[in-house]
Amino acid sequence: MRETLSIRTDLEHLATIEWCEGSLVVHAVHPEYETAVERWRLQGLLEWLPEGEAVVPRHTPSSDRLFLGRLEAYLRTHYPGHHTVLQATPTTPVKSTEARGIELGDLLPMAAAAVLTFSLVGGGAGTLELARPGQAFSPTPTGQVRP
Amino acid sequence: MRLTREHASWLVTNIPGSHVRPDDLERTYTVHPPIPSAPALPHERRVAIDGDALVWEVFLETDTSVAVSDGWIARRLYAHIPFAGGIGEGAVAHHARLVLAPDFRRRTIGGTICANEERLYRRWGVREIHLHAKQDGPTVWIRLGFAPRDPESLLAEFRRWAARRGHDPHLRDWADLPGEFLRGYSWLPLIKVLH
Repeated sequence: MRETLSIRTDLEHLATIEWCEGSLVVHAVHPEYETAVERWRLQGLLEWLPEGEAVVPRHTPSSDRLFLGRLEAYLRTHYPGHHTVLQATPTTPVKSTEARGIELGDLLPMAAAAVLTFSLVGGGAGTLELARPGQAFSPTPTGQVRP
Repeated sequence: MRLTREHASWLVTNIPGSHVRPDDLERTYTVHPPIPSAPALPHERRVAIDGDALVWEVFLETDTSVAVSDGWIARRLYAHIPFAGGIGEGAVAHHARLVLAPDFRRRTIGGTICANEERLYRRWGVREIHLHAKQDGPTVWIRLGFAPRDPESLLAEFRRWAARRGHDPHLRDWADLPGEFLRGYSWLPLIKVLH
């Protein structure tokens, strides 16, 4: 599973972060947001959550599969001016088609691959849509923070 | 309101170098407001080890049973929490609430309790205080030296806010954040790093 989180305000784009197989890759980040992303990458996300009368901590390392989803919810909950879009892309195995005499390249132009996009914009309702490969996620790799 | 041997043992075992006295909590929460002259005395609701935390909940009232705090002052101390203000992990205190009864506000009581707690935490080896500020809390806590836990996110939202109103988006200090801007936050995470 690959996930991409885009964070912005009405004024400016702040960051586009990708989580894939336990690694966090920064595809684009506002210069004044670099330290936030680097902190999340190194330290993960610490939340204080209500539990009965108490408030208890929950730490999610950036390598955790749930990390980007929790970060998205954290930002949406605490910073009402942030707009976040979380996209999840299932990684499907490629099957060999040579036995049936079809070249893999023949399939690519018509590949309506199942790219599942789950969007949440400013706490709005979730939407599901199909997208062609590359449509759902095509960030410009600028200002990549060291992995 | 005294720490038991079990509480003291939890502290010195989990936070190496901590110095604990049995009357630490009683001394911390006994304050002498200038008016009225009667001291505000702490009453224990609970002091306990709850899972991996040391927790205490107290309320304050005068010796004539006039409530000084509005409800409970609740604290949880964890020995191993990732630091928000730096790399690594260690002892972090979470402050759930500190609300004073209306007649006792603006009389330096809150500031005195905070100063007492910080003095205690330094002796116990606590590195950070975390809290969530609501209502008018952000302005008050920032004035008391707390800072946003996610400074980049708050600054991004301030730039947006300032652009809409034609304000200067540059800040010299967190205390320069306008109250009008901070009132837009109902659950703002703040921290204080104790050096």
